[in-house]
Amino acid sequence: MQILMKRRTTGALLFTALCTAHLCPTQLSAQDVLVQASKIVVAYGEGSTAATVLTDSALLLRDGKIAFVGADIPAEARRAARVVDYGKATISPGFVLAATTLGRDADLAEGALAFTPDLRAAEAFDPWQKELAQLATAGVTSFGLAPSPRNVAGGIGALAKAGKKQGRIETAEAFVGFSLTRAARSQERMPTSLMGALEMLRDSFKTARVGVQVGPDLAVLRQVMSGQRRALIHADTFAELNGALDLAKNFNFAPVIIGARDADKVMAKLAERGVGVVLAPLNPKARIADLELPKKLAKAGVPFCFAGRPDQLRFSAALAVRYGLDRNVANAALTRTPANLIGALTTVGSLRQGCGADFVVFEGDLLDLGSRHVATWVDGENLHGESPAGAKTSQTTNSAGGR
Amino acid sequence: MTRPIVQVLLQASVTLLLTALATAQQEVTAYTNAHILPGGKPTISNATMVVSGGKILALGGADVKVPDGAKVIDCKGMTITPGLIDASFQSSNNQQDLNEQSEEVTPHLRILDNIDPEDPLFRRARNNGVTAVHIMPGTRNVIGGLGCVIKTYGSDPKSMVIKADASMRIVMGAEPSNGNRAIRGGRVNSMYYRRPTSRMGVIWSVRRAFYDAKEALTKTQGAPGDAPPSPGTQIMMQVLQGKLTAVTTARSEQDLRTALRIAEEFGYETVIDEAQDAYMVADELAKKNAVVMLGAPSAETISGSAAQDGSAPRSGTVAVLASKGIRFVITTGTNPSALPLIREAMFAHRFGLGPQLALDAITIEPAKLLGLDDRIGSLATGKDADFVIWSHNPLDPAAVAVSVHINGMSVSQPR
Amino acid sequence: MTVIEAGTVHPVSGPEIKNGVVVIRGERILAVGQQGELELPPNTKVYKFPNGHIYPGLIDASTDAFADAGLRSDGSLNGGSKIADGLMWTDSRDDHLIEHGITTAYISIRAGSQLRGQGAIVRPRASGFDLWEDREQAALQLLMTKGPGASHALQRQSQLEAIGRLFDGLDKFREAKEKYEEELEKYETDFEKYLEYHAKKNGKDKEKGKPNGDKAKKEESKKPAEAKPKADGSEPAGRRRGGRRGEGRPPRGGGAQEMSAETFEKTLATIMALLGKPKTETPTTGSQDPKPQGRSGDRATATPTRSPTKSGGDKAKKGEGPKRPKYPKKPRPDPQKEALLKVLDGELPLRIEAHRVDELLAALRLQRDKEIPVVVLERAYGADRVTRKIAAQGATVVLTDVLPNSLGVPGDKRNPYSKFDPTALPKKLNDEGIPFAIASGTARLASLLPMMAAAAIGRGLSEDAALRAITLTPAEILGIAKDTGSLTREKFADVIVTDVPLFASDSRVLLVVAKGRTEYEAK
Repeated sequence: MQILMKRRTTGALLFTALCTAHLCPTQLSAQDVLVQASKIVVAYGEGSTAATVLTDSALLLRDGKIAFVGADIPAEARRAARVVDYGKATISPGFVLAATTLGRDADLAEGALAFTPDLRAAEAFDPWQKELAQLATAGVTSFGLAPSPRNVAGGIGALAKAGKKQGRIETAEAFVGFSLTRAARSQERMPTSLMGALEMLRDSFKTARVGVQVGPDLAVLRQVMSGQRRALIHADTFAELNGALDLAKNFNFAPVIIGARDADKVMAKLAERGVGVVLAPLNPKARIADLELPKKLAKAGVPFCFAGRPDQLRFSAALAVRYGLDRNVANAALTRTPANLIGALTTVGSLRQGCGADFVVFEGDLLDLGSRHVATWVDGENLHGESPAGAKTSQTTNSAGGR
Repeated sequence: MTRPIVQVLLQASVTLLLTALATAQQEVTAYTNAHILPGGKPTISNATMVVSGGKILALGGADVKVPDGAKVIDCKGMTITPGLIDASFQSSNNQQDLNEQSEEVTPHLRILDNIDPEDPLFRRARNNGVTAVHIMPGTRNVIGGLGCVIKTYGSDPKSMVIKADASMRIVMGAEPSNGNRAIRGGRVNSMYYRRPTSRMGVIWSVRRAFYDAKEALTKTQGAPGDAPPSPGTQIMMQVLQGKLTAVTTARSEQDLRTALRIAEEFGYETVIDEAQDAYMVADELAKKNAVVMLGAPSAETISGSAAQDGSAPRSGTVAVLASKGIRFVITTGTNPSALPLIREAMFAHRFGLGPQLALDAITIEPAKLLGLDDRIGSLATGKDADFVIWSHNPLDPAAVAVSVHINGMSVSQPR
Repeated sequence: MTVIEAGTVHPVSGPEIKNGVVVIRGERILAVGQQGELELPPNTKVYKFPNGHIYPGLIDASTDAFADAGLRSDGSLNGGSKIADGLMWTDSRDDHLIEHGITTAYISIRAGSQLRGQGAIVRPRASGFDLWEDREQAALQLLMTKGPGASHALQRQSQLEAIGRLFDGLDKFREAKEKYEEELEKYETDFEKYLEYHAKKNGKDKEKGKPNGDKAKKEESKKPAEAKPKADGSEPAGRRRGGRRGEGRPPRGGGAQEMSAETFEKTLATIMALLGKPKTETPTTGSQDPKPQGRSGDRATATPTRSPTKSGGDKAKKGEGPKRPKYPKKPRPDPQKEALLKVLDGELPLRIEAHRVDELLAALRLQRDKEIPVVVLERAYGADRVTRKIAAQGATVVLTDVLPNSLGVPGDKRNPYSKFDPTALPKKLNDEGIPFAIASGTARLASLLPMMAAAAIGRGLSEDAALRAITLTPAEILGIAKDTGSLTREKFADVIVTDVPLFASDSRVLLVVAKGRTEYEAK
């Protein structure tokens, strides 16, 4: 294994050496990259567990993934890699935007029917979409491309990422999106009311459960009931939340609620049934009760994250901290929790070995607005900000430290 | 004079709210020296009522023994009535939420799905002495769906429910067809192109639904191998079998007659709701033994806007119904300018209804109508301890609900 | 004496002090220094925050707290409106500035189309607020923007012209005012002469015509005569003040006219008494000397109009002595013009709300053309493009909305403001040496004032400059830097203490002392 790895790296090195003269960018990216910083947060802890933090350490990026973390980096790989040194800054996992339509609401809802659980959001993904460019600026490295809340059963959401030129789908089928909000109740087709929407879902789940032969749409509901697929349900008011929770209880699955404006009123149920929540971005002018909702969710032990406008993600977390949220939970709400809620914990949301090389670099704590956002990396590529080349000396000292 | 009692009551309510429900229910409380109007029965003066575990333990004159260790609340000068029951209560001001309008006949949809216990409407009703409400889907559908009876206090609709499927609402008249248009070419940009556009069409929809149910009924009796009828038809079948109460909303004289005629045609019993022109068809109603719900009797007098759908409401309707021996219930109904239920009864009283009848029309009569008179609507041993302590006789304009109790618990907010 | 000790003191006026202490005597700061340096007298109240951070009270250079809700949508406001007249305490969430460490705030007017009125400086308190003395009218506000909606260049041009026209006729107004002041002065001296003549004459008449008058009547006639020198004594003082104002400082709220009218009434009463004409009135004048004076002030406006008819009645004495002088014609009062004159004289800053670059340029052009000495640019989102000009003309800037992407999603083509980056602006202004304040803009965001400064730090501004932008610089812009804005000896004791550095998202205000009074203490 070790030898194999060595051979690969030296090969790559040779190749790059040949290529540098011609400045061939595709080949260059094949080289390993060693990213150093005085503080690297490998993963934020959820709940009361502390974050995994390395000091004066490094990450080895290979093929867009985290190949090695800290002391695990083989000395030779370390020597061969291109070094990027962020000095005193902090590296943390990139932000995960749990559910977004990236401004393509109309494309991500089938208008003719309200019940379309088997449609795939991935098929409406435009890798050249200009909104992707803003993600890295906002520190967002991956996002759940969700069907829009206009349909009661919208379809299957995907996990996607922005790229240097174009975006890409990481996981085409990540979760199923449902909606009980007003947006899903159109006056032009069925259903027009919450009663109707709930009845529609109840009826479909019932049929999916008892039916012998079911179509592709009901097959998706079966996956939800068997726990294979996460269900994300848009619900805001008490009646919507209560309806969603009752539905989930009747058909035995733990949903993730998107929106959850009245979460306060069903807090006990959320906590008891292990339901996660995806909150809309916090508006600083909102009611105090709304601004304190993250704090209350954390206190009740309900996992939550933020979604919506990517550029408001970090600010929302900072605002939540201002209104009493624990910093640890807020950090997790930007990274690990959303990854978990959309069932993508193994690929994004942390910097463990094998995860995508998606990270952000901040000078100081990222929850303080006074910390400068230095850079964003996605899939081992620097998409935003600077990537200072490390000096030779630091390379040797670090490799020494690595041993 | 009244202040110490109010204070005691407030303190009692606070302690009751603070202590967990279980312990509160263990507690025995005696309300003494009260003037009790038990509902459906004559007044008891200088009465004592003992409450424990959310139920009434004992009720009677001064001879009722107060158990040892019971907390005694002196209600001298006050009047206790059963908690009021509003047999037609709108749970939301948003019409869009009250009906699934993609179809005109949706008998199986439940309004229970759309109830927020923290809606201010509930709090307002509660503070005015209403402890239970019958909520039906809105009036925009021909057959709107299933109504439910819930108490007005709780954090979860499930825990508040007394009867989940209490009634099925049928709506006569022009309201379900309002805004609908016939398909005559052009762009079909709304579903309102396919619903009944006239009174005839509305009644046709009702007939067709009942025909389907009737047919399904004969089928299930005959051939067991058939596919089960649709959920909506199943509900209609229950109505035909007499297992579920049908409530027909009919306001004008013409609609009232139609409602009675259709019921007779298909052989089901129906309660007539919002019967504003009932005084015109009183004899028929009496003959059919129908129960009538009257929405907001005060509205015509107060705002002059009660007339809906071609009806001609009269303030004397209540008195006419009473004189003909027709059973009736006073509700707040669909009129948005309805007064609190107790004030509606007060107006009915003012329009010539006896005080006993006026109070019965908002307590025991709705309970009977909903088939819940064994639990609520009157004060008697073994019934739910839902009651209201009033500062005066509740039909007195000066009366305020000093405290409102549901399952023995004080749920009203201090004034 | 109050003493506040904390782990770190950030005086703003100097470098930070570890284990520092702030000593307060009365309402002012006595000393700022290191703990142990100063010997404390007994009976001092000592607050100790071993890990805390002491800052000067924050200053919000633009907020809408305390403003009556109706003020926010009143389209009839003009340059004469004073927000100080429309402030009230409602105890709503938006009125609790003090709990967020804001000890001074400029209340800005958010209504009106062009000249919006005069904002006030207030000192928020635990349950209420105080108006800053002499700063009830702290700046004249001008709106130089059409907002984010689409507007044509010509439209904006016509708006600018309309604003320019506001300054038209100011010279005439000033002239008329000065003329009036002069005439008034002349009138007063003439009237005195006239009085003296009649007093002499009347005295003679009385002695002649009423030798058998009883004692009481004599006293009556004497008393006003005694009072006369008193009135005379106050007259020149009032006149002089008015005169001086007429030259350079226009009087506030037409005070000079009222005063002269009052004097007029006083003197009139004196004459009447001397003339012995309205006998029914003399007893009251005699027995309660000071009262009519007080009342006359209330009737000030009514009296001058009445006077000509009375003087008409005196025609008979025309030929006998100096003519009864005519009361000068008062120019039509115009508070807006008064305010604009003050702006031109540099007594009142002109606050121009301008967003886009073209609007800012228009504002700067107005400053240059009309030679306005003190200009504050408000909400200058596009200021980064005109920094040189702003610096050259010596304008200052009050920034609001300094929060990440507060003006919209970047790249949103439908929203022209989304291209502005308010968080990056402070650094650019700072690099150019332009004094700027970061303000909340609205009371709802008062608790985020430190976070706004932090957002600017995140875009490259130094921490010191950021702190200055919410303390000392706004004090300078508001013209109250000699009394607040930093922890400096002799300034007002406006001191706040936070648990962690102010710019951390979770910093909490532990203690607020304003003017030496403890206004807020965290539980």
